Amino acid sequence: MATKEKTWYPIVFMFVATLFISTILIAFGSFTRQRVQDNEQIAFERAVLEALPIDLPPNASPSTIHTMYLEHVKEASDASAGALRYIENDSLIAYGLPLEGPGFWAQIKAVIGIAADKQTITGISFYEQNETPGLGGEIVKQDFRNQFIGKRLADTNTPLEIRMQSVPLDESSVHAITGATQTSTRLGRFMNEQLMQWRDAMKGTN
Amino acid sequence: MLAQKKTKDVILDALWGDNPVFRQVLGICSALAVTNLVINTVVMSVAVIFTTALSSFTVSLLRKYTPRVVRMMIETLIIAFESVLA
Repeated sequence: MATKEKTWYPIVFMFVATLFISTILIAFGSFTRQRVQDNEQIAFERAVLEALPIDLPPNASPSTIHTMYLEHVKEASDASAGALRYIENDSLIAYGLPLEGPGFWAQIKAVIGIAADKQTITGISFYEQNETPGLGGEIVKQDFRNQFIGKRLADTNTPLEIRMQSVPLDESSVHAITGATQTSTRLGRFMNEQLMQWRDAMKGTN
Repeated sequence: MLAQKKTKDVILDALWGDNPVFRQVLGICSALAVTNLVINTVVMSVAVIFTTALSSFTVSLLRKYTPRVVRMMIETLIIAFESVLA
């Protein structure tokens, strides 16, 4: 009876193959962990800079992004209710509020910029999402994000509404992405919940 | 001469006669959705070539030692591993 035909052989073969491949992947993962964390941090810093009214060069290098972030953005304080602060010449220009919630496929992480008047949106940027490419994934595109600039938070339960394309807009609403109803609805839901929490917390700081 | 013809046929088949996207309708969603920019297309093409070539090579190397009953699992394991690497 050839070794290959023995009962134990497939089990041992499978075990060895899985152990070998898992070891390589674990080693690869530990080897690149620091780089992955650095890239995630840079993606976050880029998102903050894009959401705030700061001129970020389109092809800015990671070191430029990090330098600009350290130069312009100050950590959140109790007075900012968890939002990062954009300070220029000792005066507060805008807040950068990190948002996070469930999308259609996975967590969506974003930063929304709000001017010092606590009402006007200065921008939004997404630094982590796994929505369907070409559909929900379009939230990262300029066309969608540019709609938010200049909008004002409404003093209602929906500070910033995401409406269907057929519904006209007002100063506190943007259009959803056609074909990505679930992504748009879920984004709208958690964004408004967190904006309301922030707005209420900021009222308490006055 | 025969080997050259065979290689040429394999390449032409992969490009047109047996093209995975156009003829086998494999990876059509990725091809339509992800390849919206030239750079995305190039990166994806390189990743697909790397994965298919290396997994075929690895499966061929292990072919004589792989037990028949776990052949499918081993092939899946290898392809998944090389997709992660890509």
